[in-house]
Amino acid sequence: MKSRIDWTAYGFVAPALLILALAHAYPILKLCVLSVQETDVLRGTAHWCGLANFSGLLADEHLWTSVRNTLVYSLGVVPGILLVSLALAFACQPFAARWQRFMRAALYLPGVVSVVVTAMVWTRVYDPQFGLLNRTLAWLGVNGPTWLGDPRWALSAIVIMSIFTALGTPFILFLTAINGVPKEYYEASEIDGAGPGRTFLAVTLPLIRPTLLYLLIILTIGSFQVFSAVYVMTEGGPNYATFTAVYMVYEEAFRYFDFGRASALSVILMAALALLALAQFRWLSSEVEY
Amino acid sequence: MNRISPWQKIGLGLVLLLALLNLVPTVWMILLAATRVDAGRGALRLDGAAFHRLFTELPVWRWAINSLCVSVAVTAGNLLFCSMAGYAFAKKRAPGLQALFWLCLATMMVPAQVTVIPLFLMVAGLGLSNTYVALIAPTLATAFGVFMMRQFISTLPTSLFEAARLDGCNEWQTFTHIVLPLVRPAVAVLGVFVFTSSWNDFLWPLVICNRRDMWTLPVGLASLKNEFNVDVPLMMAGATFAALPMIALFFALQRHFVSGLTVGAVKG
Repeated sequence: MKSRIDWTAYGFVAPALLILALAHAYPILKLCVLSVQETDVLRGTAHWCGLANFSGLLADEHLWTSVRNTLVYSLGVVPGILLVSLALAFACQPFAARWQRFMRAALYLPGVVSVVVTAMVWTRVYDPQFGLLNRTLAWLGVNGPTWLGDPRWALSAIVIMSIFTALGTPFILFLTAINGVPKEYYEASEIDGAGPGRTFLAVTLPLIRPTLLYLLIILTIGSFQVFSAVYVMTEGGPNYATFTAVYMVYEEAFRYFDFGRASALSVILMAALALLALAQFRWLSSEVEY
Repeated sequence: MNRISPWQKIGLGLVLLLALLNLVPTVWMILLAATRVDAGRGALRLDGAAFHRLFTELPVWRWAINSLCVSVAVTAGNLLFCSMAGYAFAKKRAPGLQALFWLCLATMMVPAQVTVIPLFLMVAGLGLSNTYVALIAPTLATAFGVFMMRQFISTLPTSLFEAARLDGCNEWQTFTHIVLPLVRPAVAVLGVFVFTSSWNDFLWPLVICNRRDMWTLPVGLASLKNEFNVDVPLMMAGATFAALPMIALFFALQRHFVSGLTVGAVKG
């Protein structure tokens, strides 16, 4: 029965595959072509220019600024989110389900609204004079920096916002994973005289490793794509302090209309993301049994 | 029930404090939008002036209707097309089908940020800038949705579909009468996920629509910072206007928001 070929299958997959082919697969191929072409937007012509787009990019100091900023952002956001949400989930674990439900909702809520909204609100939070943050610091007797206006602080300010508003999903996944660890393991650890810190390192952490790795990859890939927050809060400034890779793609394409260069940059970004995704498949294939 | 140590109580206290702290910006946004300081009495007073300016000076309702039309159409398309493809990938046998499924998954590796330029040139080249087609069509089906529906339908017993066929259903009737009613739980989860991502999508509507009346809410809102930078209450009123539908949806459908998260996750 099962082995019979069912030709209607193609009809059922056709609409979805057609859309994916036109909106994803074909643009990927087209992107590679664009990256080795020089496009003239006004005349609507394009011609082969070899690797000129790539060599032009590599010679552009702003490329290296954007690479560095993207890496710094990623290295701030990913460990930040993982550490805070894991600590929160571990601290929540011993408590009743209704507390856990409240925590889930409270942490997840800021993540459901658009990043544009969040970024607008946090721009006010970071306002040097009237912002919530500097007013609180002033009350504590500290003279806060101008945050988004200060090249030394602007990127950190966006990192802090991104950590705070993205805690929901990792927290829920960690909590689910920690709740899934059999109770007897904790009891055994308590009988052996281990404190909470030891219990965490010796029992919880090894058993939630798959969740940790999954989040590590998902968050890293996501952090490489930061755009909306930069667009709304700083437009890459001040003095290129928050100029990230996707923001540079946007500027090259839609401000300077240099589609060839923007495409070359996208190809580089795509290669970086593909490597990360491959790492995901490699790491996730390892299993934890208990 | 195990005992709770003082350390754990301190931990919970800190956790609750952080959770509340996390909600502060949202509350502050609403306060900035809907209140003003009464200098005479030093107290906060409700004030609808910012919302009044928002509704009279800006086409926010138009933006909201654009956002709603796009999100509803994208969600409906995903639910139908992803269920269809997921059903075929899970339960049907045909040459090359497995390869197509892997190709479909492979597109998940490449995010929309990367393909925005070729897609823009394609869509603009077809003369479709500033149209609903341009806003809706590229995301009518997503690889994630196909993957999710396939995983869910795989868990349903194949005998159900064979029974329907023996009872004389054709393939389409089997799909509408047997598959669709059975996938309802997964449809709710995928629907919430797709609707939220579509409502909050920013880069694509930003580049493909430059006419003000075709903007979606996030794009319209982001434009405020250029024109109305000094009018903080107005900007916060706009942010509140865009955020409230999502917050309401979250409270109404919390269960589905949360269960969607564990789809891609692994046991641990």
